[in-house]
Amino acid sequence: MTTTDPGLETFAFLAALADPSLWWAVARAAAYLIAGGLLSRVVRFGVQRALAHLEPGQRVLLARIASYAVLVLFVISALRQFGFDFTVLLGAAGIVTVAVGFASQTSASNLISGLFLILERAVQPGDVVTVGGRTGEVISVDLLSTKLRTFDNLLVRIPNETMVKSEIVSLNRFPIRRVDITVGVAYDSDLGLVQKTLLDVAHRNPLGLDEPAPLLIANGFGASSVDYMLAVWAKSENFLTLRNALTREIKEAFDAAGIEIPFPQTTLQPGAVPLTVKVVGAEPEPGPAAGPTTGGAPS
Amino acid sequence: MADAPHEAGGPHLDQPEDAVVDAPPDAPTSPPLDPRWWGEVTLDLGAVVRWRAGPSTVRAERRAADWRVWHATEGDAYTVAAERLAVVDEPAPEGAPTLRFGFTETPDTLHVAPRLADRTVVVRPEHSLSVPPGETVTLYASTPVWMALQFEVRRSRRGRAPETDLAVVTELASARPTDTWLGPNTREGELCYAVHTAARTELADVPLRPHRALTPLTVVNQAATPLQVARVALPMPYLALYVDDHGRLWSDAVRFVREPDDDTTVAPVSAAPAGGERLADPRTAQTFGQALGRTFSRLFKVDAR
Repeated sequence: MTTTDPGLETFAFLAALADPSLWWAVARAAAYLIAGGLLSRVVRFGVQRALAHLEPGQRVLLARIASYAVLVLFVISALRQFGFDFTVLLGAAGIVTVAVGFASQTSASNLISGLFLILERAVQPGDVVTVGGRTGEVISVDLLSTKLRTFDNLLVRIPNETMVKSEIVSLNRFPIRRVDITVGVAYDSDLGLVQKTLLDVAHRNPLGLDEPAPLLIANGFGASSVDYMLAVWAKSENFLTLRNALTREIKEAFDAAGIEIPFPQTTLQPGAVPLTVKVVGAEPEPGPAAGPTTGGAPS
Repeated sequence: MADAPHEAGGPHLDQPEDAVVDAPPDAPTSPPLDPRWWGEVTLDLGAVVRWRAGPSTVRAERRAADWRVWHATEGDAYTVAAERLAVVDEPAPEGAPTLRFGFTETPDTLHVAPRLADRTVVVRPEHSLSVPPGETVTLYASTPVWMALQFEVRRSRRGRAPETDLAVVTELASARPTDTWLGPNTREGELCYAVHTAARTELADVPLRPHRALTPLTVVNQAATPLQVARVALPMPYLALYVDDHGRLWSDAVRFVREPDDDTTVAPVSAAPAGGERLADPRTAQTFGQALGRTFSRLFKVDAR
């Protein structure tokens, strides 16, 4: 059994401290760290400036990756000054990577999806999108998730993996949109008048675009009505205003022209046995069901 | 003038210009129309000012701390009517004002001036016009003007004495044209106004409408095939506004040239009417060529259909 003398240990430590080569190594490591810090900052600004034509999200991401890469290289160089051997670390890194990979499968998937989302520019802050049945304005596209603000002012965090897998509908990517309004008219309506009335309504509203021209499509004979779809183009911002206005104006124009929008109707066919229909209500009906107050006789 | 434009073509927002060229023969004789509805008027607190331009009637009341403006429209975009800006002996309209402007102390003078449209106006002739090869034709297209309400305001800038300046507080459309899209597809293009016009070729036939400005439009066809003028985009923000001695509003002229290789060029041409007075500069200070480049030359063309 050997015991180490504490006094001897202290002496060895002090002797090591007194070794000028150690201080030289510390100085070099510090120089590497300072140079690395400065250079990574320069690289970040340089990349941001060089990629000025890209979207802000993409630019920040690429600049950050470049500056971290530079910093990591310099940190490794600094550690090498103290004699760290990175070949051993690299071997261990393989095992660690597998372990971390299993543990952070979801995060890694979201991270990769986030990179693709940012680089593909599928959505950008300010877009109004519908994802998985939720509609809202995109607040930010981050590495792990995309944040939406719904129109009832809720924050929805959607994992980027879901974003990549889902169908995304952008409502304001293009400057103009089409308002589709379906309306059914009674079978006894004058269809020529119906068509003229609908197109007149579309042309009269100043928010509806003159070109692309409003479109009227006959959707066929429905159960209770002849169905039409009126499609009017509008600037995307005016979409809801125009839809509300057109609905009101169509109703008013139909009322003025005597065109009926029918309720669902059912025609009864009596078949072989004649069906007798009796109108009740003109006179009080005799019987136990008729109470003393149901009669219409003057008092 | 004898055309019956509604017989052809689909439904339109407005009646075309022909429909209201002349008053019906049985209409009562009215005093000649004074088309100059704009100007300036000074009024006391509580007084009401009124003017009328085409279908628009505007009333404004000066109160101690705010100006209230009521804007009402009656009739269609081609209604011929004008009433000069003046103080009227009538109470302020009931109901909520269309607009209010607040001041520490309200200015006593209201300035009202006509302005051309703030976007490009796509003009569609009611009857399409074909220009044979080598021919040049001048059309007159009228577009509604906006009414700019202006007040004198004092602006103090650092290190300088306060300056009195005329500031536009709002612009009201005398007859709001419908929107339209001008571009190669539904993804790229420009939001414009659409106006249907009779596109007359004789100035004598063009009726005087106080709320519309006439743009002389010269179409030159240098190509070997006829040019069908189906719609024309007028770059209104690049044109100045004038009034002639009859009180008719004019803009600068526009010249479209279809070159032999089928390229179309467009250029505003400075053209003040004889004896005319300049009422407003172009809305944009840029010259047409500076601002627009290739995209614009693609947009501003006479459709060859």
